[in-house]
Amino acid sequence: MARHITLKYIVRCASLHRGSDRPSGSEGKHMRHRVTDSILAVAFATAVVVALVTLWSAETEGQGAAYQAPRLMGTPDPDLTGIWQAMGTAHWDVEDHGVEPGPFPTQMGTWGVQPAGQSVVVGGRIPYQAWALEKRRENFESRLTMNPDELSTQGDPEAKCMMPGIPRATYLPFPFQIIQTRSKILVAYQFNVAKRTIHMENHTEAPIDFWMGWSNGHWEGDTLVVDVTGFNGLTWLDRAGNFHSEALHVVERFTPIGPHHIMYEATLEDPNVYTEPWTIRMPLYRRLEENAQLLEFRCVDIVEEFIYGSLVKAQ
Amino acid sequence: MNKRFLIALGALVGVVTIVGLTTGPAVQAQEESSYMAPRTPWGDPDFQGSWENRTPTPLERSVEYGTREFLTEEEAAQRTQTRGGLPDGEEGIIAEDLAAADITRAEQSNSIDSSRPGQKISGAEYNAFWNAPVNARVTSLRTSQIVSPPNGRIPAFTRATLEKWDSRETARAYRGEANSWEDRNVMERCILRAGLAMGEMNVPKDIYQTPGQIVFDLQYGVVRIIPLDGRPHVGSNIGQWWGDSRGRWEGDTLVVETTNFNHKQNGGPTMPSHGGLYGNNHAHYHMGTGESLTMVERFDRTGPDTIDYTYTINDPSVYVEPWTAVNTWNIDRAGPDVYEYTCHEHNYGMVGLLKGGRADEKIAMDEAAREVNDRKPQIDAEWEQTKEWEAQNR
Repeated sequence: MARHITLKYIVRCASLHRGSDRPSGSEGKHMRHRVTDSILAVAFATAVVVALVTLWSAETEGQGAAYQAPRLMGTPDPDLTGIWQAMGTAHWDVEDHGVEPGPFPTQMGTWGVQPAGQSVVVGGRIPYQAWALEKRRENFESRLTMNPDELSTQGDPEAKCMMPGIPRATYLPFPFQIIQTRSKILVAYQFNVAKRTIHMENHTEAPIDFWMGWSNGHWEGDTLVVDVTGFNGLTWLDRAGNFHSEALHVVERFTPIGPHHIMYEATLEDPNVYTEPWTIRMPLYRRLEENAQLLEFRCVDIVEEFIYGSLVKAQ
Repeated sequence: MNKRFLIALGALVGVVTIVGLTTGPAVQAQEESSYMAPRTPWGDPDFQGSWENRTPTPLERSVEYGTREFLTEEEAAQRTQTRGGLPDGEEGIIAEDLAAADITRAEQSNSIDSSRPGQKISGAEYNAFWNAPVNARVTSLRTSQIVSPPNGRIPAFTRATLEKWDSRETARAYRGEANSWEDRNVMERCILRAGLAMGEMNVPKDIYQTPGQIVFDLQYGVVRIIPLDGRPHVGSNIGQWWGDSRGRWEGDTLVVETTNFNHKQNGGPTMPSHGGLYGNNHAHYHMGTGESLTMVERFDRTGPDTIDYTYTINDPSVYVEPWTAVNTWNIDRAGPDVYEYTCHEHNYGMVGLLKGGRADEKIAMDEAAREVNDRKPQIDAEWEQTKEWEAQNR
């Protein structure tokens, strides 16, 4: 409550303050303005201090729609710095899915099991075009086939240790770290040492296509909005074969909803594959373990036998 | 209002100036260089920006220079000449020339290469740009990047390392060039691109800083996130290709200590020896297992456009003594972003190498079979003679 009043007060002071800057006609008025200005300046400064203190307490206070994130030091931007991770099973399937044995239950027992999970798609279902629904089924059935001649075009890219793309990188079962500055935000993903730069200034079109796309970002209030284009069309959305084409356009929204939570939304538009844009929504959680840090997950030497095994010299 | 504001601002500037004047020279006196790095809002020296470290200086010193650390101006000019340096102003056209060379090669890719009868040049058509004269207009008087030991060369390997190396070479002798992926080096396998430290190959790099950490975004698929908050290293069971780094400030110098390298640094038991030291002498793979390896890097911002980067590699199980190299980083204000680097994702080179290995084996087997076939009449005739001789001498 107190916070709302304080913010209103600041806005009022600020608008009065701006008003006094207008050129004034007479000397007498000028004199009076000086006095008023001094009072207002002091009031404004006080208000700022009060606001900062309030924001500080809000940080520890917790959540709710009115949550205001602390600022990135030296900037007016909300501070999203930290190590984050999605929970849940969207990496298996972004839509509703039941329990399934993993691909190798005879070797792996419960280790490879797909747990049940609820859809992270707003509305439940991806609005596929008819052909694309068939393509998803083919993807699913061939998700672990390995043909060295179709290195990057067949099977699940995650299984082959390839760049996960956006939005998949966000909800893989690995942490990622946001390294934030005013002009650029670097997002480092633990999986496959993937990364992307979000350009906060000098927005340009994607110069070429990329596995992780080309990200331009801006702030809408406390929400980081990222426009991602320039995909190469080789990445998937999950292990169930959900996919997109190179025409994919993603708009992501990172909204801090508490000191340790971000609400993540990604709207996917791809006229080649979907009948209309659709949205993924899920919370991201801050990794709070003492001394939490990203560890290397450089998986190339783990998948070499999977990928090249059929090409080695017979023993 | 405006006047009042200006007065306040003036007073503030005055205070800052006085503080600067009183504290500045004292701090500077302690530093080797007179340059004071800009500060981040939280007071750390600010190293942020895009940097590059191309250099004409080889990692190891030519033996002819002995312990001499610097060239004369004339010698440096000559080195630039012989290493393909370009006169001022011509650097800008390099990219276009190289692109043109690539286009020409691409056009010829289905024709026959006159120097290799019977062989198409397909596959080599886009490679000209790798030969970019990266040393153009970059000058240095250093005879080598290595400054310690005094001969400017990587120290001798320990007996244990040489024995390990020897047994690896022996194992290799019975293998082909591409029996499996393990016969290729870690660079061809898209695992590591450059040497251990960031000085050995010119990799575009961006530095980011936030309170309590410094981050190096290296184009070749690596982000080094280095905590500055005094936390301990990760446990000894965790080994990583790029190790585990911890940083601290010593005055304005950033000091980074890295441990926890994994045991695969030498690329595996069958990696060919040319993966050790190779190419233009700018890149170097560590010969050891990595487990007893520590690296200490020091970063000094020596001016608005330069960082002096010094790193010491110490691995008592591999080298008889530590070695230290120096490398200058230049700010790259016009430089492009650090782009996405993928390698493994399209490593058809490895597919081709392995298929080539199998094709070679098939050719060898076919030739052996043909040879046997060709000699069959002769062998049959000899066998008849033998039987005749036996019949006569029974």
